[in-house]
Amino acid sequence: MARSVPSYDPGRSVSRVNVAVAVAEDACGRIYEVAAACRALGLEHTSTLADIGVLTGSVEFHDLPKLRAIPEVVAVELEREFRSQEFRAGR
Amino acid sequence: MTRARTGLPADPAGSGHTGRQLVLLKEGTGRAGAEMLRDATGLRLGVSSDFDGSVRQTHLAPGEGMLFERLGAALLHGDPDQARALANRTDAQTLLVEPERYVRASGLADGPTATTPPLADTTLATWGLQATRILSSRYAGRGIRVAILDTGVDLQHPDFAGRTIVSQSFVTGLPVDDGNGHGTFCAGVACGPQQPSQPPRYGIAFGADLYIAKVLDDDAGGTDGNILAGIDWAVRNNCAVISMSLGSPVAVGDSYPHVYEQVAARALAAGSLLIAPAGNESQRPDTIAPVEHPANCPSILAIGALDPSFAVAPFSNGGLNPDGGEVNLAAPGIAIFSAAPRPTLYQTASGTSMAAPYAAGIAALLAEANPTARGAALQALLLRSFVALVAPARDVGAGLVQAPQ
Repeated sequence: MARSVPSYDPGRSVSRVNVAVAVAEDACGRIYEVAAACRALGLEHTSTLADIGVLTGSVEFHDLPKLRAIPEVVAVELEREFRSQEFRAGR
Repeated sequence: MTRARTGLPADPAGSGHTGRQLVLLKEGTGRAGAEMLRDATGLRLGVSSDFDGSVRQTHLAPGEGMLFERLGAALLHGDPDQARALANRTDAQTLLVEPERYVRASGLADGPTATTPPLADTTLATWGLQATRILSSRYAGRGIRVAILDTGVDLQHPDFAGRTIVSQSFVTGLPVDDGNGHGTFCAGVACGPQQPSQPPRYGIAFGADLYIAKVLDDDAGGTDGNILAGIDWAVRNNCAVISMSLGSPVAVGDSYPHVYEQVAARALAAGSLLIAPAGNESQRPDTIAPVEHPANCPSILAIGALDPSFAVAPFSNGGLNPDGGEVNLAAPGIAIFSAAPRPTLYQTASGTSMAAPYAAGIAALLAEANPTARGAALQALLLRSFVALVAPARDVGAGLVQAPQ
């Protein structure tokens, strides 16, 4: 039920998804090397969050298994959208 | 003047009032307020600081009063005419005079019961501050960095004047200014001032340094990219507490998100505690929705919402999923008063969004009280800072979060 974000970009493949990639604890010191490996496998890399060991970007949906197969990658998840949690009746 | 005696005035009329009067003085009045009150009312007036901190419960005989110098407030036991005379003065030192109410928060040591009367906002403090025992806490989160990941904040709000605020927008094309109001509200609850420009007091960690990350746009929506970037920024800035009043629904049976769990575990290891709302998808009593993402991560504390009667808010999600999907603590989340962007300045709102900053503000007080406790150690302290509730643990976790004294 957690939703991915199908942000519309007319120049972009419809099968391209935004992702967050968690890098293994023992590989966080080499996060830029891991980022390079992910880019080689199709990640369009937008940011490196070195303090928490995460890469963000987009990838073709069919390339997700390739990213997940990288030994230094512990999780790849589709981007979700969030809302503030103020209660409004009938929302 | 009698000190530290037990017993409050009786309430034969059942009015909910003690017969005494609370007076709120202008900020900075200090001890001069005692003389002004003596002149205005003719009462015998003491000053709390003269009693070496031993004033715990104030027994005042008729004709007596006590000035709480640091609070800028006084309690008077005069006759109604004396109180009216004070209320009618045009003296600029007196902001408000109102009857003292019976409140039960100070009696929460054993936890509220089904017959505990509901709390209400008073001139001095919101019901939420009373319920969580903020007013009597010695701590203010001094020197503690608290990150608010939200819609930004009104940086020019008068209640944040003079505060240390570091801010960063992670929403492309938008400055950190709060075009929604949600972020200003949550920052107000967690870290609002001891003496706001307009009573009542609504904020907790008034000594904390504010780290404001705008991760939600002005419609209060956002995506992983912004939020993860905000967490990364807060961890890099050594924020002891990260409050993020946001979420995304999950289904019964869903697992927690592994990327966020990795992130939260790393944040804890780096000394940053993450706190998030349980979510507002329930429609009690018919439907209870599971704790949402990212509060459903084992390493992120999930906060449920209570009403002023200490009952679970109808919208507050419950701990239906295992492995992190539990509610950890509950906090006030209905009819909460806090800051709003100018020119409104203040508003009242409900939601688990409003409950999470209570836990965050109290975490900052605990961090000040325990300078070496950070990350998992601070989380453990917070999880021990509660009073039990009648409601099931599925909905309120350990219980109602309480400030250190």
